[in-house]
Amino acid sequence: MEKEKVSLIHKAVKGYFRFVVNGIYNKHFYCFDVENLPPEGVPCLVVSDHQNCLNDALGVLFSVNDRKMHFIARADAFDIHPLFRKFLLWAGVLPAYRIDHEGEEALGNNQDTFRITEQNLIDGRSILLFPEAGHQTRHWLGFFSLNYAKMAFECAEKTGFEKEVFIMPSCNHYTDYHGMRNDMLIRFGTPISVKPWYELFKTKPRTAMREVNKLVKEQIHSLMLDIQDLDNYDEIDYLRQSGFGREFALKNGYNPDYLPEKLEADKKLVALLAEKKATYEEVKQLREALAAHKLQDRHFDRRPRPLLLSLLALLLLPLAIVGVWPALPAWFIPMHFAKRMEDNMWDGTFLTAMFSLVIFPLSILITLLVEWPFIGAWSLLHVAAIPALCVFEWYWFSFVRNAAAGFRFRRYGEKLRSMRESAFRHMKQILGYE
Amino acid sequence: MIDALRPAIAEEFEVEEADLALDARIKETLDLDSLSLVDLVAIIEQCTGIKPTGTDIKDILTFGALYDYIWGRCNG
Repeated sequence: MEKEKVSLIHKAVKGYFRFVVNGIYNKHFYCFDVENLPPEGVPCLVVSDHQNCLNDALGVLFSVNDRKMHFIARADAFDIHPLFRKFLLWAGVLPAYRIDHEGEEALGNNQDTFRITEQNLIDGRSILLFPEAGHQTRHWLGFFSLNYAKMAFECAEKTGFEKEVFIMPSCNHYTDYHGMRNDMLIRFGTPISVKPWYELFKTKPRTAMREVNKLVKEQIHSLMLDIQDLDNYDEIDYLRQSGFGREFALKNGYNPDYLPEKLEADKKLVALLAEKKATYEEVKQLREALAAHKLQDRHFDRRPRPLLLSLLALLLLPLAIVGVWPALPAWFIPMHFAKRMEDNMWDGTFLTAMFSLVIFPLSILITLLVEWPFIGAWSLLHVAAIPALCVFEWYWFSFVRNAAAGFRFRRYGEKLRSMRESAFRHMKQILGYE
Repeated sequence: MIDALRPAIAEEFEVEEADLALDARIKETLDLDSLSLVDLVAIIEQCTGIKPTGTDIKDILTFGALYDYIWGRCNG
């Protein structure tokens, strides 16, 4: 099968997004086992868990570099602006209509997406989609629509079951869904061929799809952090991110500062908590007390130095003033829009999309237009420094936020130390170690 | 009417009739997504003569609630 030609413009646009997202927005980007992807020319549906909106798709886009990835995305993204719709279609994205968002009448439009996707598969393309059909708001694997399995089997059917179609489970993970300068991870699993189910599909298509779906979901569950205990989700999530989770990671030979190992440690911790049927009353009280005072758990183990941070922020203030442009609009404009969404999982999407598509290019243009008449080519230096200034500004504001958090911790935190120690001691007893 | 509906659902969705118990959850039992919702609506229409919308059905959690809905629609 002929390799799909990827235009120079497509490569340039992808490179630009990679620079902005992985160079400025993310601190570290990890990708594992992309070599497990079937080679280009072999029909492959990449399916993944989905929490962080656009960033999940970008992660896969930046991981797969030997072919053009195709995507299926929520249809309302195509309504943002006609130009944006054209951009998405050009980038290889197709719309998926959902009854909860576009309504029942729009579901028929999915037939076009199915038809084009099946043809793309027949042509040996790789397509990413999210079977949960919408993003979750937590580390949790939800219900899978079987449409992806249907597309895989119908692609095979259209070729007289000659073509072997693969489904590739994958997962994504983040140190934090919100803010920036976080770490991100994409991990691919082992491709699952649907060929062994072809005969079953001919007589019992739904059973075939269910069986494949079960395998796919099991694999994604094993790759990702999947906290199924939703009643105690907040407590479990707090524990894994706290000094308790950090100590657990170290005790089990994982580096808590290295996201891939922290993920494995967190998965182990969550599994152990479920196995031991842990109870979380003390942890819940602790978590609520910390939240009420806006305190951060990490300050208990790494003593805050609010005076030093304040001094540092003051010393760097001149550079922070220089960095206000364009860093302030770069971060605050998207966050202004993100806060208007009821769902806070849109933060990252607004930051990356608005910054990449609008603010960053505009800031370069405006900087040049304003400065060139006065300082000529020296303005190019300022333009070249914009990415570094944006990152610096983020860290400068972090110094200020952390200084404030440090003062708050000094005021309220020590009173909660014994509560924390008691809660952690109780959890260690439940888990069977001290 | 419900007696005709149960085997039709079981056959279409390749499940056992016993799986369609009153307290069984529709979404999980039938792996009901937007496409298969359309199929379920078609079966209900075929077996009962009523024309539910997908929007009506998608929020019904259990088969018991579904049968109550159909009964209610049939009896005005």
